[in-house]
Amino acid sequence: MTKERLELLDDDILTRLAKKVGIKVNRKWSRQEFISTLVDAMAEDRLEKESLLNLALSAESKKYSVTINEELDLSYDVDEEMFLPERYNETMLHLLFRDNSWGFVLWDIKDKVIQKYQRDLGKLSYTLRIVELDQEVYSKESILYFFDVVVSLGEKRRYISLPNKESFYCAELIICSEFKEDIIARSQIIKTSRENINYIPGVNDNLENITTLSGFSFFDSVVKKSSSLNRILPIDNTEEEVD
Amino acid sequence: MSVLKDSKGLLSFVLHAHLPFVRHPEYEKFLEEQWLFEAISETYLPLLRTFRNMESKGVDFKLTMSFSSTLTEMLIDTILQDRFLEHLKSMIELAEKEVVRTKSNPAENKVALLYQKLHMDNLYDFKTRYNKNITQGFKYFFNKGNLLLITSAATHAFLPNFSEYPEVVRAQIVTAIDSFRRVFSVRPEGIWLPECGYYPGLESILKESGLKFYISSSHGVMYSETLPEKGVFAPVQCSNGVAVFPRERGSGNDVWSPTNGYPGDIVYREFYRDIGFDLPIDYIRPYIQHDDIRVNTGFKYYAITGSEDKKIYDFKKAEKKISEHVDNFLYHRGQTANKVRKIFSDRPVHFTCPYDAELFGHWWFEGPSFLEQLLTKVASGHDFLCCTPLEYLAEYPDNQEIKPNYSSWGENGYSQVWLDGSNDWIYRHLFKVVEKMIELTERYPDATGLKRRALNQAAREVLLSQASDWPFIMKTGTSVPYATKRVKTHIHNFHKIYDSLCENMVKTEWLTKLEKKDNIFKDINYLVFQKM
Repeated sequence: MTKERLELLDDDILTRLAKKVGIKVNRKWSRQEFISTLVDAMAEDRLEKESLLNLALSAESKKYSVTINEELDLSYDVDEEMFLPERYNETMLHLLFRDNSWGFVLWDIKDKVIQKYQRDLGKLSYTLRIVELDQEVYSKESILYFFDVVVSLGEKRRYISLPNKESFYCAELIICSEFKEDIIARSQIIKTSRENINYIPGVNDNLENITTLSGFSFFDSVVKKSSSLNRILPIDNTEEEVD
Repeated sequence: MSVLKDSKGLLSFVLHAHLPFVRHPEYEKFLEEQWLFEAISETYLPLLRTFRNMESKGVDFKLTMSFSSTLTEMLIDTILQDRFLEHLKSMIELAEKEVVRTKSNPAENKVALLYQKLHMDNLYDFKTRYNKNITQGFKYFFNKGNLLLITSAATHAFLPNFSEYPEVVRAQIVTAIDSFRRVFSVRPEGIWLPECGYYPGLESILKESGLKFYISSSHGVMYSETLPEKGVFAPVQCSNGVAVFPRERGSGNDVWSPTNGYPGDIVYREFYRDIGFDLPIDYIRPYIQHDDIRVNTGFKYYAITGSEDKKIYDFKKAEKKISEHVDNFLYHRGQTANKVRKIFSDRPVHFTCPYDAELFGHWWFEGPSFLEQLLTKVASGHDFLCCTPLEYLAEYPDNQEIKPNYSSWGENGYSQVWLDGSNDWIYRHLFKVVEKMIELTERYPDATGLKRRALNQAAREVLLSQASDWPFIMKTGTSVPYATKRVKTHIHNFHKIYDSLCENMVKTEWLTKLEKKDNIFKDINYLVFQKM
């Protein structure tokens, strides 16, 4: 969105835009200062987005850019009347593979289940257990390692660090009391993949050469990750921590 | 066919054509339908003209194009066809005004005349030559053997995120194949996995659907347990025989790269300067959206130039540059092929070169000309030959068996574009409607009449909610309110049908209205979501 276009908009729309791009409006600003701040924020936002996209995707996004430089399309605001429920009041647990370092966990516990446990066991706490397995089938024998994360009753999703490549993971949702813990849901098993060439250098020149010509090296990694000390991140912090 | 063996290298160009289903008969004019109109005007019709140009010169070109079902269903839709015709007429009117406006500036006037010709040609081709159905043009070149047409997933769902529900993956693929057969009267033999998204095990559904190959990201193949002995320069195959064609990075970078890629050359047309934004609102008002929302018109007068002070676009200069870029592209592939041939020489070096079709013409204005010159040059006696994946497999049916890795062509190579803080909220709802849809197939294994219509519409709404475009747009930040609304609307519609069925109270009028609005996949059978 250009400065010229912003100048055509009235103050109410500018305020709505500011809200959308996360700017706190200072009442002392003149209209020009307000517009300049908006232009800067949008440019920053756009640059950030551009840097996020790889080559193929940046070309792909051109398909949707009938409104050049107009990331904020005011013409079709979401119908506030059409809301979806925040939850479906069911016990469920999903683990999705996001990339080789992160999984996404999505869960819920049916109210009746919680009420029953509360009646039987009193005060409860809730834990997500991330289990690493040595094969795609779950069994006690296949468990290599696990770690627990205490979650609050209101939480429904988290990004979770997956420590090892080429390993199998599942998530378990556990209700805990002073006396016992019950696994109430287990997710599907996902597998992290290899992030490098599966080959020991120095054995076969042809394989090494063809790999290099294919655009890969033996130090290659599709994902260059910064290591995070937090194994599990609350949803709101994920973006900052991952980047 | 045997000539393939004798060539130094083989080039498999694959253009993936896709747009989400953006059809809004409930509005007189709708901003996002412009995505389709721009793609038809600037990519699909110009591509068909390049094919005809080559045909008239006797060039026996070879190219693969994948079409998503959402796109082809829009291309055959009469409402959208009529709307595109109106759009074209409006563009011709604007072109006439532009020719007059630029009269005093010969350089600009030349560009205005170029656009006038483009739109006049488009009008003739669209209305007269193809009788408003341009899929016929692609089908013609398929029948001639120049073009291999392949499919994609029905609504372009990013399949790895639905791996927990094989019913979804099968429904996406089976529905796409049915739609493809209805449009092109032939069964597809290959597939473009949306966003090149692959997860281990997907090949079993591809195989049972009769699909022989898919296009992969290069790391999906190179990071497999067994290192491909021919690198990305030959296809490999899954254990069930489905062939995998890995993208060759060099040919991708030559074209894709925003810094060094050909489309960024300073003499080529600048995508980002459009009279929809540059000219006074009173002049441009009839050609933009209601409420004075400025949009691209496609009339762009500047060359990229490389500085703020833009030069006027000169197509003659651009044409010369295209020729240089074609030579450069072939030179690079030739250099690589020479090196690869020292490693293996039992078969030609194969380059899989996949691109978004809409890159050609829409973003890279000169793209169709580049393609035409390249394919013509190769066909008229070059070290290289162009071929399709199927032709390659006919000559070389046995390829190294590997276990491909989870992969996509998205940022960092996995799912993070389609599973991100900006869009992950959708999955709770998408999974819920899938579960309910599967449940409906169990409850109503042989529904008829109104119930069947409701169930079929429910299946359409589920599929439409799964398009990879919605999370992609939420992540990249263009038209986010629209994408959000689309996901919510389809989920909402599904729940409404589900509840109506549970109450045994399907309202005919409401259902009919919805069927007319989301009219994709005419012959869908809701049982496609049956439990696997």
